[in-house]
Amino acid sequence: MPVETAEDSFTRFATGAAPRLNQALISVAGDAGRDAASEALLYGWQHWDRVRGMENPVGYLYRVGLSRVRRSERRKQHVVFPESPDGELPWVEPKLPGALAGLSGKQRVTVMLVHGFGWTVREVADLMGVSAGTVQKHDERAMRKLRSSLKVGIDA
Amino acid sequence: MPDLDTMLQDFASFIEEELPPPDVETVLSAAAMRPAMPRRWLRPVLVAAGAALLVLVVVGLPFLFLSGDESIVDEPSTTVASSTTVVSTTTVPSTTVAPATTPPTTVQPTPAAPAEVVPFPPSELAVLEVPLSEAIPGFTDTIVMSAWSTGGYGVMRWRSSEAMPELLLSPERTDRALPVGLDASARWVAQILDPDVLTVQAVPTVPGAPSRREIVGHDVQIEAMFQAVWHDTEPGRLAWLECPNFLDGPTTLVTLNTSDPSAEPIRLRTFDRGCSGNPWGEDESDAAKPDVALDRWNSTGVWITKWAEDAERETESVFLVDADGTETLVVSGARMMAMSPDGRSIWRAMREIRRGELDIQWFVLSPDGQQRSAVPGVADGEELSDAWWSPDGTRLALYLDKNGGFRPAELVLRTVDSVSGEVITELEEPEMGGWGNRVVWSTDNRFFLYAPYDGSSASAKLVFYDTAANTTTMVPIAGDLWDIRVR
Repeated sequence: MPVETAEDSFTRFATGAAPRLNQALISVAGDAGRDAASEALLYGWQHWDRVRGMENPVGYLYRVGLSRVRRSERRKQHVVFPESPDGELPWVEPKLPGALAGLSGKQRVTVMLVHGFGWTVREVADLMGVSAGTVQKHDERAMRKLRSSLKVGIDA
Repeated sequence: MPDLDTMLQDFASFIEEELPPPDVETVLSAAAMRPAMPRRWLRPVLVAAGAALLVLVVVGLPFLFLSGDESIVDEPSTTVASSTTVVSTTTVPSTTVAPATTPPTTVQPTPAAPAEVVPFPPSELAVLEVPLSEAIPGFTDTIVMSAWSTGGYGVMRWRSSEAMPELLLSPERTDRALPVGLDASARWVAQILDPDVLTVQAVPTVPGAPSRREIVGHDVQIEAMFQAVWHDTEPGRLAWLECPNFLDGPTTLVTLNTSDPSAEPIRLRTFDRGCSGNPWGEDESDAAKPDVALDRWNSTGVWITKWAEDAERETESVFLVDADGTETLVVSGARMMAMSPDGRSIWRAMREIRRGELDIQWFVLSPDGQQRSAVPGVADGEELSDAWWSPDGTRLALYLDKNGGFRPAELVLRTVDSVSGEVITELEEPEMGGWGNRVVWSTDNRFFLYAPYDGSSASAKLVFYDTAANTTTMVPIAGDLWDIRVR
């Protein structure tokens, strides 16, 4: 049986991790998150001997990605999401990107991962390195803020 | 309207389609092209090592192996743009071997190079067919602005007699640069180049090399400098917050007169709070720990906002730190949005009146902090979003929703007498071009300049709102404005 090379093991890890890492980083940083996800994976490969032994490598690379976003020369005051062309599917509530941009990063990533991408609270807590209770708190506040700014009720 | 969960699911699907996950093959290819970046303090060491290696290679040492330097490599970098270029002792593994155990296949020492300074072509930013004063009749100020374009980051001066801006300065760039921007006189520009390096450069107004001053360097035991602001009116005076570490511990407020080479930094006050919100650091894991932010520095002192969070709510409180370092609570539960030259300030207070419903109130605070009054020029039922005082303090520009935040929004940009509240001009949304961003009044209190933000991306234009004629003129801008000053 052939021995798994470092590249093989990284590829196996990254194939599974890339979509989740990308979801988390585009949630928190919009357009800039996609590049940050690439950068984080690149970092993961360049430090694979260390990262592979970590208990929570995806959470670690999420933090690497966050630092990329924050250190980006093109950092802006507003998180920028892709624009939805008028009249084309999928329909996106026009005020939603702006309302999401008004949340804190932790609130935005929580609400997007839990409600948008269907992660469990536990999974988000692992990613962020916080307790599930903290995630729930971020989620409650974020949803309240979004309902308020979008003028939608809980059952609307 | 769909419920909020459905909106979020639709939006998540949309952005994931637009921004798909990175391809692993591409990442591996990129790794092969780009070695990891050593820590700053190691770069000179590696340069020296590289030079030694070069000598060895040249004299014919054929079997040269370097141990993989993973242990000393902290983070990769998107560009190599330091004052000492890294010796490319390749740490990236080949496609079939483990990164930590395999010697590099090539050794390519490169000579140290000066910091990358990419000239910013002013023609990329904006070119008019006529002088600015003809395009914008009545506008006579000189604009100094910092901006990015495809070529780099630069400081431009645009005289009203000219059809395009001229480049004053192309500051050193790194992939970690965080601009602080221009000081009150537009003669100094500051950047945080790394978490631990703060630089100030003179903006040359006469030919000659600009002087660059590293205010805080990496030999100082500071892990992060996450925020800096210039004094509102006094040239060259810079204040910043220092963190001893990324995650928690005290934050120190430091001020310095950068225009005086002999001046020493003044450590004005240390807060026993963490550095969360730090753009260089990691997320704090302790959600109960409050944040500290540096708002502004003016003649009354340094304005600091702190957040305290308990199980129920997050409360923001604004403090004023005077020249002695004494801290005074000014307002709790509100945030200062604007301050007039004579010290009148505009605040926004947010209060949750029932679950999911916020009550937002605006008020003006007298200079002594004792009296609160309504914001002039805002009628009952209107919801204010932002406000800016004119330089002489006689006018207020208000960005507000006449429909009180309910649909459909009726957004207007209104100028009013700052005492009586009498409406002077009002501009409706189509003419505004988007939310006012990078806002500045002209020195004669007539024009109102802003780079509109349309809610999703920074629009590539600079808007000149002539309040005398109640008209706007949009100048296409190819770059991305960071800040604008007029003089």
